[in-house]
Amino acid sequence: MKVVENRMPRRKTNLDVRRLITASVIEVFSTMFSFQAKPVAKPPPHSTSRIAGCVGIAGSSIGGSVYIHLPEKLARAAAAELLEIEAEKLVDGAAVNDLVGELCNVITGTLKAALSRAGNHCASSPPTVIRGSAFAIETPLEVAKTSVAFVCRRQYFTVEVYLTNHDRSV
Amino acid sequence: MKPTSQPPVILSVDDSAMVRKMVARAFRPFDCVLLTAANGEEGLALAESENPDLILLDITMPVMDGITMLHRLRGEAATRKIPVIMLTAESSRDTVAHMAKLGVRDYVVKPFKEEELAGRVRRVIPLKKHDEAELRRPGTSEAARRGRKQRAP
Repeated sequence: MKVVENRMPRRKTNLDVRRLITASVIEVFSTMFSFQAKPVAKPPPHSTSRIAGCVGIAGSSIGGSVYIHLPEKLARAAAAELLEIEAEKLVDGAAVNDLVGELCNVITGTLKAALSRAGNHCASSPPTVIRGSAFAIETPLEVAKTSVAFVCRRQYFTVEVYLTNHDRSV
Repeated sequence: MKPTSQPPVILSVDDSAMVRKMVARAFRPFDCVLLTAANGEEGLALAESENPDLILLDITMPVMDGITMLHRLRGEAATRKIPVIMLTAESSRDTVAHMAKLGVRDYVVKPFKEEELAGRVRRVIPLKKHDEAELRRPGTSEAARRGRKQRAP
């Protein structure tokens, strides 16, 4: 018996997610920490311990999640900047987690506003944070993925947006 | 009504400690009292007990979100008239319209610049910088006031 898998291609959204996320990240890093983040075409693979913030979004016509993957060193530097202390003196992991979660929350807010303008109203979850060095986010093929990479203070980080369209309206 | 010599009380309600830190930094130059709460339930309790002059309120929070807290504030005689400024990552049209119906005075979208936040608050309540407030405190002699003004850059 031959089994033929019906692999659907990844759906694409009409929203320019890449442009939205790029503008949002640049603004957030500049406003919150006075750090300059620049988009890059091809980042190196994740090699160091990183912290990922995640916010889920859910609506009647669209759902998904937003992740920001930050090297731990960069996350600590940003948290230290906000707390006005030296990064080496930052021992509170919870503060760094809070920062990464809030970053993801703010970036997701920009995306949600754009989705709402396009008629796709959705709610978002409180952020969650994952720490580790050897993990990847994997989703079913029908979920559209947009990954945008950045460099900031010579360290690379990425923002991933996963969206699934319930009624192909996006 | 509070005596005008007392510094205004601002209540910041946000589940992110980092955001509460940023808000504290924004108001450091000003003569005010900053109270903080990590969710709507704590915020409501503080609003009822402390009667702040202004509330800065996030939307997405655990335990009790900002919209629920706002409804509860508007439902109580003691807290109904406290001005509220939303400070949130939510900026969709529906959310803004809903907040406007609940009588929110202003809406600041994150990320925010500290000067912008302070400016928006100053449109709602009188906020003086520390040196301005000292000059106006009761009991300060006119001569001392003149002396300080001359020394100020």
